[in-house]
Formats: sequence, structure tokens, C-alpha cells
Amino acid sequence: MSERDVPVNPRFMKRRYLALLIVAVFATLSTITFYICYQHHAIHTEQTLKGDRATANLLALILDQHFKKIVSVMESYSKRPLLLQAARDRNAEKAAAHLISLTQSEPDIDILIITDRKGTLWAAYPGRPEVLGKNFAYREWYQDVSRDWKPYISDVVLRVVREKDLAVQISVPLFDETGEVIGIMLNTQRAIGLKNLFTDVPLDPDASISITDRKDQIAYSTRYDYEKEVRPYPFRSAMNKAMAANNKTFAVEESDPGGRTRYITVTPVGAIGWTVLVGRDKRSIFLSETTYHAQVAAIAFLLFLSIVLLFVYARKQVMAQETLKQLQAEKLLRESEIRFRELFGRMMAGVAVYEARDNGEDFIFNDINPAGESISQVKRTEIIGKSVLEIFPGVNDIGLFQVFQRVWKTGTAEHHSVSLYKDKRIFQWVENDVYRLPSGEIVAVYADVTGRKKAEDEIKRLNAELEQRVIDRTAQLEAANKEMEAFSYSVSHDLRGPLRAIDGFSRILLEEYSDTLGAEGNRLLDIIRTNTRQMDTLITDLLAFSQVLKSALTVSRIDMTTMVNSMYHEIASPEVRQRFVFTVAPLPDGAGDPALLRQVWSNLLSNAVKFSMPGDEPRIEITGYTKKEMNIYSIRDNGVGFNPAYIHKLFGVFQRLHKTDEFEGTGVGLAIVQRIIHRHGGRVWAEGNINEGATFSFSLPRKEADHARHEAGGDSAGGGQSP
Amino acid sequence: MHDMKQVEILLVEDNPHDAELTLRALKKNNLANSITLVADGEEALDFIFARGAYSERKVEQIPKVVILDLKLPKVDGLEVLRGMKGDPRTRVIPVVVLTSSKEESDIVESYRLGVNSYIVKPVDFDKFVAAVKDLGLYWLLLNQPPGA
Repeated sequence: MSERDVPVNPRFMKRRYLALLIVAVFATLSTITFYICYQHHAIHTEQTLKGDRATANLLALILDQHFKKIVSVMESYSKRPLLLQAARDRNAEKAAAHLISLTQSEPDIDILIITDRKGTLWAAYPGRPEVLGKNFAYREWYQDVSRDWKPYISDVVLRVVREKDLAVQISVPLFDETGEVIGIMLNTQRAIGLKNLFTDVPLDPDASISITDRKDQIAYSTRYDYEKEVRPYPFRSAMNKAMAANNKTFAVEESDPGGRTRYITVTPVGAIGWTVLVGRDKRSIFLSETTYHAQVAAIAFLLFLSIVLLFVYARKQVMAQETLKQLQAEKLLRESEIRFRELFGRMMAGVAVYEARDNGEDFIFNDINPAGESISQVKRTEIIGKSVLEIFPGVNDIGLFQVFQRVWKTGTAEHHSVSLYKDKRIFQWVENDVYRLPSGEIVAVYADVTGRKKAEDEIKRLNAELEQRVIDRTAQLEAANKEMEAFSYSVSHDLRGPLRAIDGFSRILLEEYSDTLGAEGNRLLDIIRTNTRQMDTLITDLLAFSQVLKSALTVSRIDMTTMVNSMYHEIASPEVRQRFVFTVAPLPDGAGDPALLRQVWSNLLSNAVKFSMPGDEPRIEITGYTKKEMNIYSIRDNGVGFNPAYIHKLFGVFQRLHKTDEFEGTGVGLAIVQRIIHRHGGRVWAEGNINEGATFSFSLPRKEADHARHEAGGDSAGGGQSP
Repeated sequence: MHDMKQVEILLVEDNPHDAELTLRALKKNNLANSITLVADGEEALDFIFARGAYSERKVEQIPKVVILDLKLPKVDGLEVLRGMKGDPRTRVIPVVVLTSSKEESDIVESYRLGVNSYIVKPVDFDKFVAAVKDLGLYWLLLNQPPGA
């Protein structure tokens, strides 16, 4: 059904399917219609026959009642004493009056006669003088009634008088007071009169009615001539068979006319042995259904037409959609074609399409794009159909031809890396990507990378140059480091010699020529010696300061609280400790080089002790806390403080904010602190005021790894100088 | 200066003032009985290995102690130390480095080469005298050299 399932030739498939469908629908509908009609016919036949049975029963009942009524009326007259007296007297005149009365009381009563016991007629109405005195004992009715002396209804007989037609005789015996039979009263009725009994019964015009007597002779019929002769019922054997089998209805084949089948329904009339038959032509049942059949057929036909129209419409719709789809697909295809054509024509890379020849031994040009034309300096029209070996003889040398063959055979795309292509016309660096198309053609997408190649070479050259420059600079730096080292070596070694000599010989002078020099000479020599020692301290501090940069950091975890306490004990003598109030709050553990941090605490604590106010109760408080990734430590004193205007000079080398005669020192301590903290990736700062104490704080990264990073990125000049 | 009796102290010092101060300090402590002073490393090695000017000496006549400055002309103190400690005959001679250098590399290298003591010359003469006295007492009087 679905068009999508058969996209190859939908029209053909569709038409064929449609014809088959219509046939199938027609067959189905026909079958259903036939079945409905057949079912209806069966039910209708059944109902019709049921109606026939009802009719037959009704007619039998009416007939039975009719005879019973006649008999009872006659019996009532037969018991009249006057009539009986007349009978005893054989007084025909008196009897006639009763007979007339009887005839008038009951219109169905036709001829009335009265016989004596022996069957001799003596009275009749209407009067029939010719038969008076005639004996009728030979007649069937006399024989029947005289058998038991009971009322008797005869079979049909042909009358010999009057119309000489078919008649029924009803005879009633006359009894006297003693019960002696004194005569017989007989009534002869025309059979045709039975018709009047049925006038009020609605009869189906298709149905025929027959009444038979005990001898199966037709007493009345709407179908057969019965009035002028006694005729046997034509289907009496079938009738008797059906009655014997207690079947209400039986079917017979009519010999005339045309041998049609008739359905006949049979019902006995009371106890008198008569039978009512309702017959019906089988065909008449069918014919009565014609209207119904016509309606069903018409509905079925309309249904069939609707379905066919629906199919045709649906097919048209589907076909229209199919056509639309095809048009859209064609449009998309056109657009795609244009798009790729544009792409092919405008792309920067060269594209060449080849077709294999001689089983991959040669490849000829099928197409080339404008970029390809310009890269390879060829004209499309001139190379189409020509061999690649003819146009680009160098492809063999760079292995590209072999790539073509492999790709053509395996279908696996290959990249042919940057190679120098050479032939008589062209000298360029090219890079190729080779594919196989579904059509079997080979496509080479390529680019002239000569410019790029040059640029790459240039970059390589520059890189090499740069590297050389780095090597040179490093060597220079190393040399400078060496010089620096030699310088500090000289300082430590050579500057001390003269100092020692000055001090030593001054001392010798003091020892050996003290008297000669006099008091002033001695004082001056002491000044010389004091200055010598001061210079020595300066040199020592300067060396310590440069030392901070030289050794490598050995970072580990440090229990700061313990370190601060131990350093305090180291730098402060017991007398000092007694004078000072020293408090250390719990400090966060730090991470850093223990030796260098000891130096830091040593310098800070020394400063705090050194710059205490004379006389007052000196205090030193150490606190610490953690903020983000840093630990921050502070040392506060209540000493002389400093002028914040010179705060920028605090951490400078040889910068002093106090006079030498007030406080000793070279002004290197805080510079060393700053260097060490900076090497750890931390920061140092100070707060204070003159005579209001000072707070020095420094921060250290919490993680050991951060030190390492800082070390790696930082001081290259100081690194790698371990002994 | 080159008599045949055993030299007790070989002082290697290029600075004459330092040398004088050292000699004075030794004398002050009565340790200057037999001192030989050489002014550079080459001369020091010549003395120890009985070469050149000292060829009439015997190598076996080893001094009791060598006081060695590090910064010397021609051959520096560390080279002298290396030469002495590299020869089995002279390895046993105690060597005391007496120098102005506090340079850690010098200290470590000296001990690596087998120096017996490393003393930084104090600038303060009083301290200098005390230091020289200590070393003289120890190496000349208290120390028992092998086979002496």
C-alpha cells in the first residue's frame, strides 16, 4: 500500500494493487450481500409458513365451529315436542312449519328433509312432492347415521337436484320421549357456501386454501374446480404421509404447470376427519422478497462504489505527494549540485579527478578545478582525457602515482605528505589527499605549500637562532654569577686582611708603646679599633645578606610556635628574658626552609629586643593566623617604633632609622628578612609610630608545593649555588 | 730558615702583616720555637715534598703542624691541601686552615680534602691571639702524631 515501500516504480505498483483491491472488495461485498439475502430468505420462508399454519388452524377452527353449530341447532329442533308429535303423526304440514323456522333461523341450512326410522322421506323443505314417500335407506348418510344414531356430517356428494353441485349432508336422529328413534332430520348444504365462512379471514393472495373430506376429496378450494364434481385432492398421498409423520408442512412438486415446488400446510378439522390445507408456491415467497433483495443489492453497490472512489482518491493523493516529493528532491539535488559546483570552482585547494585505465596502470584526467589549474599551470580543456603521467611526469618520483594505485585498489584514503614536485614546468612543494569516489574515480585534493614550506624553514632557522641566543645568554649569566661569587669571596677574604692588620697593629701599639703614646694616643687607637670591628660586622652582614640568595630552599613543615620560642631563647640572654614580657599565641604551622626562617625570627626578635624603650616594661607579642592560602605571622613590641614617613626605607640594605650611638646594627637585618620571605613567595610589612612600638608581619604560602613553584619560577641567579 | 732540625710549624701565609701577627701570637704563647714561613702554595709544596729550594730536606722530616692560608699566589691553599693529603708520606701531617674566608664552599671543600681544623681569622686581635694559642697548644703539645 505505502508508496514509501515501493519507491522504484510507484505508479505501476499502485495501479496493479488498485485493480486487485477493487476485485477483492467486489468479491467480499457480493458474498456478504448474498449471505444476507440467503439468511433473509430462510427466515422469511419460515415466517410465511408459520403464517400459513396459523391460517390453516384458524380455518380449521372456523369450519369445526360451523359444523358444530349446525348440528347443535338441528339437535335443538329435533327435541321440539311438537315436531316429535308431528313425526309420530307423520304430519308433514306441521313438521314443515318447524323446518321453515329452522331454515330461517340459520341461513347456512339449505334443504331440510325428515325421514322415518326406515329412511322413508315424509317431510321436506322446500317442498319436494316428487320425493315424498321415497326411501333413502340406501344412501350413505342413512347408513352412517343409523350406525350409532348420532349426528353425522357426510363427505362431499354431488347433489342430484337443483344446481347439482357439491354438497355436504348433516343428519341428526330424532328421538321420542322413550328414546326411541322415530326419524332422521337431514340438512343438505352447498359446499360453495363454505366460502362465506372465510370472508372475514384475511388471506394472503399468494396462498391457496383447500378443504378435503374424510375421503380426501376436495370440499372447498380456492385453487381447484370442485363445485360440479367430486375430485380427489391431487397431493393426498403426500398429505397423508405428512400427517402420519405429524408434519405440519410438506413440499410437493407440481406436475402442472411448470413443475414448481409448493409448500403445503395441513391441519385436521376437529374430530370429523376433514382437513384444511394452505398451499403456497415456493417461488412466490422468493418473489415477495424482491424489494428487500433489491434494497440490499443497491446498498451493497453504493458501498462498493464509495470504497472504489475512496481508493481512487487516496491513490491520487499519494501520487500527488509522491510527485511533490520528487520535485522537492530534484530541487534539493539541483541546489546541491550548484553548491558543490561552486565549492569545486572556488575552493583554494586544487582538486583533480582521475579515471583509472589499463587496470590501474594509468590514470587520465576527468576534471580539474580552477584552483588546480592555477596551481599546476594547466588548462582544463587541454588536459581532460590525458594521462597524469603525460601532464605531471614527476608524480612517479615523489611516490604519488603509487598512492593513486593503492587508493584505487583498496579504496582507503591516503595522505601524501609535503613533497617537492619537480618536472620541466613546475618546481613546487605539494601536499596531497587522495580519495576514491563511489564511481571508482580517484580524487586528489592538493595544495601548493611552497610558501608554507619556506615559512616553516624560516621558523626553524629562527628557532635555532633563538636557542643559540638562549645558550649564549645563559653562559653570560653563569659567568656573571661566577664573577659575583668571586667578588663576594674577595670581599670576605681580602677586605678582612687589612682590617685585621689595622686592628692587630693598633693593639700591638697599645700594648708595647702605651706609655709613649699618652692618653690621647691610646684613645685614638681605641677609636681605630672600634671602627675596625664595625667594618668587620658590616662585611659579615653583607655576606650573610648575599648568602640568602645563594643556597637552595629546602622546604619542610615547621612548628612555628616551637621555633619562635627556641629562637627567643637563643638571641636573648637570661637577663634580657627576665626584663621582657614575651607572649606567643598558638601559631599555624608553617612551611618553608627551616634554616632561613630561623634567621627571619632571629632578626625580628633581635630587633624587637634591641629597640625596646629604656625603663618601661618591654613587651613582645607574637601572633599568627591563616587567611586563604597564606599563613600570616606578626611580632609586636612596645619599643621606640619608627617614623612612618620612612617606612619605605625599613627593608633596604644598610638603611638605618636610628643613630649608631643609640642602637647598634648595620641595617641589614630587615633586608635579609625581606629577601628570605620573598624567596618563599611571601610578603613583609611593618606598622608603627615613633615611641609607640612597631609591628612586623610576614606571610608564607601554606602549601609546600607553592614554595617549590615560586622557587622554580623565581631567583635563577641564586639557584644552584650550593657548595 | 732551613736548618736540619725538625720544623715544628710550617706557616703558609702570603700577607706579611698577617704572618707577622700570627708569629706574634705564637710567640706570645711561647710556641714559636721552630717556625718556617712560606709565602705561597708552590713554596709550601716544595718544602713539604723537599723540592726546589728545599731539596736538601727529607720528605720524612715532617712538620708537627701546617698552618695554611687558603688564598695564596701561584698555588692556592686548597691545592696545597690536596697535594699533601694525596700523598701517603705527608697525609699524616696535621693541617690547620687559618683564613679570612667564611665561605661555606671553602670550609666544606677543606674538610672533604682532609683538613684537621678550620679556623676563621678573627679581625679582633685579642680573639686572634686566643685562637692561635688554642691551635698551637692543641696540635703541638696535646696531639700525639703517629710514629712521632
